[in-house]
Amino acid sequence: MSLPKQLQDTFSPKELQFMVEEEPIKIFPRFTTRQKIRKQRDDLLGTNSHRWKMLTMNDTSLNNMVAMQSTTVTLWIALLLKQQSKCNIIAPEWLTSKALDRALQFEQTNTTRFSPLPWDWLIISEILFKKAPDDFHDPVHELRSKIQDLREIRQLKVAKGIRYMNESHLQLDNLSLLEINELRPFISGIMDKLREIHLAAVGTGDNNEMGDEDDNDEMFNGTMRNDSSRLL
Amino acid sequence: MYGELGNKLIIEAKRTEQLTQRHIDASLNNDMNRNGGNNISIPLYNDELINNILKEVRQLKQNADYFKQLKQEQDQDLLDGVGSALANEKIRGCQYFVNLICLERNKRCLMAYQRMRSDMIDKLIWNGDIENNSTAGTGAGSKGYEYNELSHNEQEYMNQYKNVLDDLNSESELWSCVEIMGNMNPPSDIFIDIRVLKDIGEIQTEYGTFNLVKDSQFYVRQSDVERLIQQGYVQKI
Amino acid sequence: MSLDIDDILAELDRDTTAVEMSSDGINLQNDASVDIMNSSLDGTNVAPKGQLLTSKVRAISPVEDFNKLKTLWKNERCSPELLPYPHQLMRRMLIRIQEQMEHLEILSMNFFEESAGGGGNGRRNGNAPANNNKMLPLLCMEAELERVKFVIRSYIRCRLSKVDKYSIYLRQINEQFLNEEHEEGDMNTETRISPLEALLSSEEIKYHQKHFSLLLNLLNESVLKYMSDDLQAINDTEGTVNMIDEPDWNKFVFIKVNGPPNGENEFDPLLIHKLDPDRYYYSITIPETNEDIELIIGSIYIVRYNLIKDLLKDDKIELL
Repeated sequence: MSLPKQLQDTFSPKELQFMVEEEPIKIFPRFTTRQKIRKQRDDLLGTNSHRWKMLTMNDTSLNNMVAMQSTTVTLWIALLLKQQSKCNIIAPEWLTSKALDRALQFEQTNTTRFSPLPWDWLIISEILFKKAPDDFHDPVHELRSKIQDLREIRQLKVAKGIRYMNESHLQLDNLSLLEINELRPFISGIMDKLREIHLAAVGTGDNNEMGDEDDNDEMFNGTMRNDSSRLL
Repeated sequence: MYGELGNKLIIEAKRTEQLTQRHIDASLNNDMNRNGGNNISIPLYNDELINNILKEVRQLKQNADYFKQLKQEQDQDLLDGVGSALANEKIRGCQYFVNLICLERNKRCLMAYQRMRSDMIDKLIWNGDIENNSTAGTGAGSKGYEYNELSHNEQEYMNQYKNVLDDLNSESELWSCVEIMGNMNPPSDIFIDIRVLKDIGEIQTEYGTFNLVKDSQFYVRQSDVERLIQQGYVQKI
Repeated sequence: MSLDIDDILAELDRDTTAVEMSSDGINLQNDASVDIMNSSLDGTNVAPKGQLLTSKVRAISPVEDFNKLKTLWKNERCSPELLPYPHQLMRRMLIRIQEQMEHLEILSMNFFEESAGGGGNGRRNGNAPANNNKMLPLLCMEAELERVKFVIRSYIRCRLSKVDKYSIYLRQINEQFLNEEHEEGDMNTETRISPLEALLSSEEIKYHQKHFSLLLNLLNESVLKYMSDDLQAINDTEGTVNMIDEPDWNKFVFIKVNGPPNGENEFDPLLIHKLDPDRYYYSITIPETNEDIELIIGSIYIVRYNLIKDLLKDDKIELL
């Protein structure tokens, strides 16, 4: 097969990281790329190799960096610059002790909903802890343990939500990339099976019109499902 | 019992699949492998079992023909109004049908086995485990794949499939431009810091010439020094 | 020559922010007509190269294209069926990659000439890049190129694995089409595109044909030729089990609802607007139970693929 089996229908952790690296992040560059207009014109003669010409992102901000003035770049660029000690990464607002406490509180008070963390919160925090630990104001070990708490409390909710799985559908707002990827094989597998079972049940139900069975069916489909679809 | 051999073949195929999966799972943790499943080994083509199944197929075919013929004769009896013809016909029909089902089952088993193996061959080629079909297999200790496990037909298939891919690769600008046979792991750390462990001398890269003297450090493209890392000449910092 | 490329790229930069993305690969008709335009241009690839580039690229910014490519990559990975190949988009990507590679080659050549001329030891000591601000753009552009290549590679390889998986099924839908075509006579054969041509790139079509015939040959030689005449088909559907793998249309998939690609919710006839709470949603119905599901913009759901595949092809949702 041209695609390794472990990559079929899902993404590898490295691929998830790759996706997250495409997201924007704020940095303090430690060098300046902005140039005087006249110099810029010279650049067009093609002799200058210091200009950024990017394919996948708007390179205006890269060509106008001023040392210690915050700017927004793609995360992987930030990481590359960081590796070269050419910038400091500004931790996102939600990734502070205070904000994480708020999120934790939300998770605790709302037993049926997830707090609106960014879709890549788990992965991006992991990356930043590893590659830019010195750029946080709060102690990293503290942040790390709060992220872990958040992860656990949300996992618990998912586990609880599993009993509402059905053959119809499920709504899962604010579930993040990594969480979805972890759940995917389990949830879609079970729901596929439920669907098959349901199909078989409906199939026989159609043939012999048994009132009893239909009633039960109705109850299960109607009430249970409508509740459940909003629960997660 | 008819079909038992076929079952045996399927069980073998299933086991192979599981083993391969386990192998891949295990090597997933290992950063060095290219596509997440290096050195998959294809088990020996089970000639003996296949031949026995094919023997069974011949037998079944003969049986089927025989019952078919019997049935035709009986159809004649039926027309002629022979008393027991009706009951006999049902029995013969049944016997014929059972034979047919066994035949079909054997066919499906053989095909499933063959398809499982051809999938594995595909995988080997895509993984780059088969580098060059003329030198592979002879290079002792190298990654070259031993062909002995494959049947004659499979070897043919492998070479041709490789050719198809090579042709498409050289025909298609897009495919060759993105290196379609390349690594399936996302690029990370395209440039790395390395420390030189043994004197190597000068190497030529797109970024100029590096003089790799013991204990010196460089910032280089990872792909340029991949081999040196594997051979232990340099070390990633 | 280097002057050319810089000018073009500089122009591209300016276009980047100004222009709206147009839908790509959704409208077949559209795609086909551009195909024709491009192929005629591709023939004359020497003199008006710059012109060709700008005329083709100006309409859609590279950033939009790359974002679209990433979405297509993810969608392809998560969908049970093979999704239509974005002919135009891929052509633009290829041109950009090639131009960028050329550009980088020139840059790195200049760079080394500069550093060699300067200190004289720049060449010998390859360590220069690490601490050199001038080298940074080059490093990043090089890294970016690898990333783009990876997405395309991964995307195509995913597609090829589906081409293999649904090999017979794909042949079948194509044969069906050709038969229909035949029945209808020559009335409008020229305007219609076969399902395979719409679905696959030319490379994929070739791959499909060739790999299929190799497989068929292998199965013939090792199994089928030993069978009786009536058991030699590889696409039995009448026997005990169907031998043709078809996509599992009812597979459950994770989706995110995005709404119309242009963001104009009011003009999407499929969108339903409800107040209290204020929300836009698509309504889909599960056929067996007649149950309606509201797919609210911005929300994440797990639903059967079949119910949302049209929304997916219209770019109104994405798979996760």
